Amino acid sequence: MTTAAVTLSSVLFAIGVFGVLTRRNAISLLVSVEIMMNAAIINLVAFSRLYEPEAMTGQVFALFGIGIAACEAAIGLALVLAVYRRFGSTDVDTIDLLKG
Amino acid sequence: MEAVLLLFPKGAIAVAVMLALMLDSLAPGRARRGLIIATVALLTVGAVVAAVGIGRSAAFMDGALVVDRYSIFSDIVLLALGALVTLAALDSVGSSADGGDFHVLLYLSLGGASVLASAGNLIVVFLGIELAIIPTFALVAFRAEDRRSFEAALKYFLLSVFASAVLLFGFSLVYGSTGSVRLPPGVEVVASNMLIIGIALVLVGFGFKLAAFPFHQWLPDAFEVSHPEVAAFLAVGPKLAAVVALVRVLEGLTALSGAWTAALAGVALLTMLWGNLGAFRQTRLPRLLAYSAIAHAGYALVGLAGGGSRGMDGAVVYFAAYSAAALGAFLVVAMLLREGLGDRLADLRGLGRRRPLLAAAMSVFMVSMIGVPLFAGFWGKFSVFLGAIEGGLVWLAVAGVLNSAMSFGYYGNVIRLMYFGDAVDDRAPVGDPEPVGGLDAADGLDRGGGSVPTTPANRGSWGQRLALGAAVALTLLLGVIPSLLFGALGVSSGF
Repeated sequence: MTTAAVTLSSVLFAIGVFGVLTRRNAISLLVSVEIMMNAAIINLVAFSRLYEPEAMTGQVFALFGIGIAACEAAIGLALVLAVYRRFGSTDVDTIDLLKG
Repeated sequence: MEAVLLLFPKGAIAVAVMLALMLDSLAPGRARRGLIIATVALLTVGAVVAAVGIGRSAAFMDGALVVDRYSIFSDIVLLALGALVTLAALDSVGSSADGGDFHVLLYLSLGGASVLASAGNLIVVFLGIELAIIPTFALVAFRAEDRRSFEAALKYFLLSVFASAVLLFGFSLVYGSTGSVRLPPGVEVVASNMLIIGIALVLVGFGFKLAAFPFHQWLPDAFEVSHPEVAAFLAVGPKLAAVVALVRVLEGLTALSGAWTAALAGVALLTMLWGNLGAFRQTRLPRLLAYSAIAHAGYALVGLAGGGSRGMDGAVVYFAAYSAAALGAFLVVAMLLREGLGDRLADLRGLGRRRPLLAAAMSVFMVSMIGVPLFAGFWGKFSVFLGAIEGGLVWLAVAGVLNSAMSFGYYGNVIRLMYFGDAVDDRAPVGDPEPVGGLDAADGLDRGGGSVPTTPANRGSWGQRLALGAAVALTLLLGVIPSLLFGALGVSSGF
């Protein structure tokens, strides 16, 4: 059970990393990162069942992770909106006034 | 009673956030300034109360929140930093139309950093990091008139959330292999592939937050386009807390120190080197300070790589010693911009004659950053290099000393320009070629120049001067009496 969950989460994490490396649209990048976060959350819930089914430490961790992901999405989409208004694009390669 | 004493600094930050939320309900004027100054006083009191608690320790909420010597030390530094940054911003961004939001975001990030430094388990580490970092995305984007600030904020944001996801996945693997989220785990740690992968991912996540090589790219852009006051906070606040949290995470896993010592040592070396080499190429003061901030994170990592209590203490002391100089140097940038003098290195020419006090203060900060004895920065470097030697990493300590010597090149250049550079009054036609950095005319934001004459009206505000004076005083005082610095951490300086 745990092995299956960890396998699933590892695949999801790899998909997310692949997305971050290949996508250039800011919103797609954000979605890829959310996939990575969800992989971690699956892990936390699975390990919580394995180690301490009563204490639910991992599940509490997972809930906080979901909350944080929502915060990040909120401020991230606000930034994407602000950037789109000023640059007319959300492609991170065309937004390159700075040296990096 | 003891709980009240030990948690007072965090409570002070929470109250500061609430006071800042009320700021926008007040019209610009005396009442609003009064409230801001009251907040500064509250933060100062919080720092003093934190100092009173030195030597005590306690755990709260089933060990989730730990107040010990590391967190007390961080609280002192963070609250003092928050008070000084607020003072410095009093007449610039702090009193702008968005001033209320600026204060709210600043104090929220400060609170996150304080929680992060007190984290007793992985959940609180994660929450603290996010609370410390998420408000800074908005702070970097705060110069709304400059669209590059949104670009820097978006790139900072994307890299940061990527790092957060990596960190969370690393935490989940650490939890999965130890069965505990506590710090230290409280169970016997058995090395396994899953744990090693987990620690590697955690190090990547922290590496980003500390802007260590190769996760440093966001920092120069973010520092260049944000307000100097914001950069001063970013250079120290979240990083100090992240170092403390990393110390706690690594302390519980000393059984595996072989796995991460080599990685940390390599990252420390490359971070120092990259920061120092990068700083040489810079023609703008904020970017120079940004690359120097990268290098300084590298020095702190030298202590962490050394392991052992002296190395770990050294990393924490390092950021505290560096914070005064970093705050001061960015304040000088803020004052130069306010006076319309520009923030290019070329604009520093002749500053020693035109503004002797400002130039003297800048020299103190530069000398402290080089690590000359009798300045605060020396004690930071001293303790991290000693920690590396005690950890058996003599080569890393030598590399650190060589890097410090190399950094004299660009810090010394700043001093040279101020005192021995020819003052060019009609820079406009000649000047330095406009540096790269995409500062095209379409942005309509030429921060260089020097056309605005310095009048008493646009000299630094009293808040800036007070904060600058405090930064100079701290840099000198901590340099001459290092036991203040080490005593706050509850260790002896070794002298």
